[in-house]
Amino acid sequence: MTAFNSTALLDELSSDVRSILAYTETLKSKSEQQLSLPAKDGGWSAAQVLAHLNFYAGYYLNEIERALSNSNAQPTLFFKSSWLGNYFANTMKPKEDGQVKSKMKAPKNAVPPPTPNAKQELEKFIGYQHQLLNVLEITKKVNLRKIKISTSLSILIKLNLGDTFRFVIAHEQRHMEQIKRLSL
Amino acid sequence: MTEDLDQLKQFLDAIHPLTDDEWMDLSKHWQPFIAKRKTMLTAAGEREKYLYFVLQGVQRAYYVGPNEREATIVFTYAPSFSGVADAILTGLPSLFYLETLTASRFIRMPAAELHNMMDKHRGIHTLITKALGHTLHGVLKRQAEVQIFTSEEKFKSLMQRSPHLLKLIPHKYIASYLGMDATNFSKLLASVQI
Repeated sequence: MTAFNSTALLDELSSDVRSILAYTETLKSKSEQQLSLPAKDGGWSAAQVLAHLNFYAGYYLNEIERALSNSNAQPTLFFKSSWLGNYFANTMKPKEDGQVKSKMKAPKNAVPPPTPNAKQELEKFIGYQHQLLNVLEITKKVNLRKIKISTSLSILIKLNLGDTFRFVIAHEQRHMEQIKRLSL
Repeated sequence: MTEDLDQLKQFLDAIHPLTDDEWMDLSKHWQPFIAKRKTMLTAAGEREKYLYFVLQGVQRAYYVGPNEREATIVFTYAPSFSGVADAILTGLPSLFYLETLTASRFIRMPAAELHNMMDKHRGIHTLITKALGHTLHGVLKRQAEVQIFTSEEKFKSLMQRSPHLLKLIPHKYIASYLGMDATNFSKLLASVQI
């Protein structure tokens, strides 16, 4: 079983979110047109990727904030990842060099519209990252293992809070690599 | 931790010595913190939550402007403060990103606690004002240099002021600090007699 020092894990995840923010900063100078250009292989545009991520960020932040307000389980020094959570997070996370391990297909409800408003999606995404940083900070005072969050796949499939963060942030990192490959 | 606090005390005493009472109160708010290489400590748009005291490693604060242009604003290394100074003091969202360039070790205190300490103890207020004075001196001097110095003059000035940076910091970041591209920086490094 994979175990982490709880605070160190939350600090590292916060650093990951800040790196995502630093990257999105470079997207601010791109035009609506550039951000809306589909990939050469017919894949998603940057705007579509951002809309896809916003769908998840909106869902998970809402679930996490609700769970945080309903919990008073104390934090522990170490956090043990669950088998399923660890598997989810590891398959999502791109390698150090930015390569992704396996292609995935988005579930129907998370498929973005063909031409979302790129600037709006970018603004929204940046807002969600700041919200995520705040929530990570608040999480230092709660229990990463005992709080459970329903996944967007099914209300019956739940992950603990620690693995939810790992999974959501790895998913964002994965899609940042996808936008980088568009070489805008 | 005690040794780390001793280092901090030594650093502060050189700026403005605190009374025993002030130091006792201030010292209890610091926590140890370690970060791997390339850890983002603060993002632009985020409030700065901590004042850091660097024990090990090098950090840099940078600004990202239009068209992905990036300006390195400052490097920090032991023994000195780190953190986005203006954001700590104003409470406004940071304009800068702050990252570690090498594995780093710090002690840090919450920015809110620093404000409390400054309100409570006159000596701590004076200390911070003096420290800021030195910082402002450096910033304004650099501002003048950025406006009138040629690349070569900027380079020479930095080498006179902090020659050890060459060994501590990857050269592309020093080039960014001086506002030149990495190739020009290498040429200068090769050509200029220090």
